[in-house]
Amino acid sequence: MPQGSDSDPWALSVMIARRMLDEQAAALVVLRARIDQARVLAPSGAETAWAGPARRLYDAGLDELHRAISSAESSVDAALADTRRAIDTLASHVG
Amino acid sequence: MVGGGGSIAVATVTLFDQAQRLEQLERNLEECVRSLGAMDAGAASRLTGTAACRPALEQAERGIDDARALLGLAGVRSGHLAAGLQLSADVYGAGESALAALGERLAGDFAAGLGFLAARWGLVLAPGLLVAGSRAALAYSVASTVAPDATRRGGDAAERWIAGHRSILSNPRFVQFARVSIVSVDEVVAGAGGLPLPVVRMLGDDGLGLLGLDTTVGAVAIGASVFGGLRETPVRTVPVSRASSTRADGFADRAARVPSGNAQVRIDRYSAPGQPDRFEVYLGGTADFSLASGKEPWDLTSNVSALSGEPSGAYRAVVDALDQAGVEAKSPLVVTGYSQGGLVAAQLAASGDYDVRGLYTLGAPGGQVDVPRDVPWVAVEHTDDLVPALGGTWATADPVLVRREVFSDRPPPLELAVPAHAAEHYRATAELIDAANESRLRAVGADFDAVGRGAERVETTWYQASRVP
Repeated sequence: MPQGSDSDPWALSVMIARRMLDEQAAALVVLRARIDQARVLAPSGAETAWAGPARRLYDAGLDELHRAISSAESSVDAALADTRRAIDTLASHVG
Repeated sequence: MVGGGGSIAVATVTLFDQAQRLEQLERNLEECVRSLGAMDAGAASRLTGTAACRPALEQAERGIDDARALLGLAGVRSGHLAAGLQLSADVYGAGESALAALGERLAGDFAAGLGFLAARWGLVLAPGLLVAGSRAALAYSVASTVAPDATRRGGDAAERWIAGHRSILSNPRFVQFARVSIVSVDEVVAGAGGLPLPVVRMLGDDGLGLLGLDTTVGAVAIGASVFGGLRETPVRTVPVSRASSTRADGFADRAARVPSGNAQVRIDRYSAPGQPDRFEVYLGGTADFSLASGKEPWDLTSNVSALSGEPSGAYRAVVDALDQAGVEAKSPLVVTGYSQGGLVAAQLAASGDYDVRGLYTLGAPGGQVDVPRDVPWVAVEHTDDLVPALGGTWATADPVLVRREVFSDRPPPLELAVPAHAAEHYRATAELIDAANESRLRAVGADFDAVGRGAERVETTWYQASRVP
């Protein structure tokens, strides 16, 4: 069965998969930018003269918050890289 | 610093700003989680011909799931931190409020004890003090006759000492001390009268309220009136100027509209077809500090009358101006006042005679005025300004309290007794309020602005009041 023809169901399926993956990659790029923007809102904790036990708890909470956002960014980056790898793999098999 | 609303909470604007940022972050992260949830990373791998890329797609799916879980966790954490921050600020405020109450009670007890001791020491020392005082007076009169220059130099030295130590009047600790002490003067007198401490407490602000700032100031007024000072008179109020204007917009704009010339009252009428008129009133500060009542109702007499809870000349003048402007009991009203004008503004709100939808005071000694808690009130005080402290501690009202130290980074100028009280500094603080993204200030500001919303015409009238001998 010839591959790459529009009338070929196999080729059509791959083309649809490719489009879906392209859209997923684009959505992940947009999401990554939104997380970056959101991260700016997270206070660093160094901006207030507030002190005491509550301040220490607050700072520890902020550290955890920053770590969770960083880990989420890494996961999105990994998902984006895997999606692009899948696109490349798909392209090499179709080509 | 901004406080108030629910308790006399005190917290920095930065603290509340961080809470707001964390709440916004929580919303943004929730949005990201929803976006990730809408992705179906496994869908492509279920299509024919995608077997080769399936391992990569499975990893991508795991990455998306991980990111969703982590962002969800970060969102929840952000919300918790915002709530915790707000709670900490409120607890801090409640703590400060409790400390202030404790400080006030201790000051009262101390004052009563001081009065008690002074009275008894006075009995022992009075003959000696009388003799010493008489000798000092005699010595001064003899010296001023024999050596007038030297005596004058002595007087000048005293003046220089006062000028040299004038900065203490702008010390925030002294101002706070004065605020607490001024509501304790009556306890000194009661203690001097030999009343036991529990009885003094029972009669004081925390008990029956028979002793208080108004009692003390009232006694001062009665005492001064014996010598012809601080006497109230009838007042006459007349409109002196009219102009079309625009709606007030923000705290700085309202502060800038407070009269500072001969006219003491400005009334802006907001009109729109088919709607009842609404009004904004602006009241200026004290113009005459002399003990004797002259023509100016914005004088020391009015200050003393107002602090003693009596209808001062300035208050009666404002009521008259409102009446002339057509303000009725149900007319929506926003009142802004600086210094004595702020005290009068608070008394208008407390009177229950007007539908006050907003109260904005700048450097006003209004701490003891019983303004209903449902009146949106922003009270601006400089911590190095003695004048608002003269109104005593905050009693029952719960304004959104904005505090700022004007001379925190430089010494206060010595040519003025209370430089931080200057209207220009309060106008600068009002600009900072507009710039601060603080939720409670925004909420009260919205209440203020709501009164003038939809107005198609704004007519301003300035009124000048004078005492009638």
